Amino acid sequence: MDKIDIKHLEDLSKLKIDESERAGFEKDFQKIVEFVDEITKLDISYEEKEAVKLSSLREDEVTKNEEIDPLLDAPKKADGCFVTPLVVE
Amino acid sequence: MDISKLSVKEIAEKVSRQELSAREVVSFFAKRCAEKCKFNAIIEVFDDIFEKADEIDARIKSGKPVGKLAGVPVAIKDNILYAGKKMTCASAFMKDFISPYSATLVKKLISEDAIIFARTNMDEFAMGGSTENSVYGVTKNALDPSRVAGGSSGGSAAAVALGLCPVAIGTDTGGSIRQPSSFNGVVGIKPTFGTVSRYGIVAFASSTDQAAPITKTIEDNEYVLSIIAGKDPCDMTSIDNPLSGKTKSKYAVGIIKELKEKIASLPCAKQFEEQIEKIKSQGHTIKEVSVPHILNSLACYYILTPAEASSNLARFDGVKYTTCSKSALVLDDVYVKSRSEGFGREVKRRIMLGNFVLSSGYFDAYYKKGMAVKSLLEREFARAFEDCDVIITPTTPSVAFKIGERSDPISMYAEDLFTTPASLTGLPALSIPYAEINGLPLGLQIMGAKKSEGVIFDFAKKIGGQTYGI
Repeated sequence: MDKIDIKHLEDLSKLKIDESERAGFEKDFQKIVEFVDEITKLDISYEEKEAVKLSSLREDEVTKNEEIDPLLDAPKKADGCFVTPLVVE
Repeated sequence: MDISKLSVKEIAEKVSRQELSAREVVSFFAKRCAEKCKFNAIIEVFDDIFEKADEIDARIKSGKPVGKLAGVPVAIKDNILYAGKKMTCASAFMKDFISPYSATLVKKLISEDAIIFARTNMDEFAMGGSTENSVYGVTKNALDPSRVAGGSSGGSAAAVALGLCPVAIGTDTGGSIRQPSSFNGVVGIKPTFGTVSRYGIVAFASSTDQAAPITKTIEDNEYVLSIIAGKDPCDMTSIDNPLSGKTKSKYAVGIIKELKEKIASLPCAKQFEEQIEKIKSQGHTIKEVSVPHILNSLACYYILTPAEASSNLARFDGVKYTTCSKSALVLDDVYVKSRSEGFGREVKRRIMLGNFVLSSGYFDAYYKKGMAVKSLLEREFARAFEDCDVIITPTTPSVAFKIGERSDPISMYAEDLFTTPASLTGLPALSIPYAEINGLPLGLQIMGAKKSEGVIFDFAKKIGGQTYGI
């Protein structure tokens, strides 16, 4: 099996693995992918065509929900908004 | 009176008949929590339990009717929302999170006058099989503190076994109720997918997550499950499940052919064989059934659930949920640094594994194939249940292992061999204690067809489990 590009996965995941942990993390990750790799070798082409289906959606009905404060747990908030660093110069 | 020996129903009846006050009940369990704190099963006993108990007692004294769980203290896993209370998923990321509303299951418990009593320890974001991955530290096994309580609902299972509460709610994505129930000698069910609303439970893998009770007896389990079950407009995957099924005096009990060799190699092989003989001697019929792809369940589970987790945990971005890295200067730093500092190793591993199987070039080979195996398993189990009423397997390959013994993730994942099939297929599965090895309990898993919990509970009561707990 090819070596997995951990840096690419860190980018996709918005995560950064600490350099002191990197070697161990990569080794474990490679082992896990090898562990699940048996799936790729199964010959089940018929099921594959059927497998990934979209869920059906229910009718969208307007109902009254309980009042929930979306900002209750925001680490930074101001004037009823979440606060982030400046994103537009 | 030793209140810890009373069943859930007995407590509720005694409280409503004023033979016992709700205050006495919560005082008893709160005292036990303090005495047994070294097990680290409970993270927090809520500060308003006495107030809630007094309200119920006052209502009873004034002659007003009370619900089916009057004065029963219920502990909830730390990934279930209870309005105004802390909930952290045992993660540093969520350390200061206050629930803005209550989960549907919590509301249902409260509507029957249960007292939401405490929150229980767990593996971070329910990812793990030992409750060793918790920001609060390891939960110890109720029967041997040098061993793990299992996970991820290890705190809930140990709390019930230790008599810290008569019932605790856990969640099960791939075995997280059944495996710790097995390790601590208590009763835990993963009901048919959708039976209990997931509204207000922090999502790990939305296609398999289910919440359910962990109790000391089968009767208690059925009783509490019937209260929290039900379709909920806030969870479109929830279903109406009457928890029934066609009960019989004698059942056809399936044994899966493809697992025979594996089970024969396990330490519990002898006990499992003896259990089969016991079932036969009670007049039930043993039938060999085939689920050809069952041994692919583990790989399938460790592809599909990380994929779902990677999407579900994308919401923890450093903007909305309590934690934001102090050193973040630009928006991308807010995401990357907050997540890297806040999540533990196993959570990071699963998010990255999920993004791997969903990423370009790997989606067809892993995710799509995983979905195909899942649908194959659904059909294979449906066929198997044409020939039998229930299927039995061991719940776990071994008894509870020593703390720190499974540092290798693969050996930890292998624990889920028998529990993941029911999760992937949405089938109900109950774990009851049935035997032991050197004083440590073993769980028997009883699986059934969809919505056949009534059959599972009836069969379980007929074969009888052993009772553990302290």
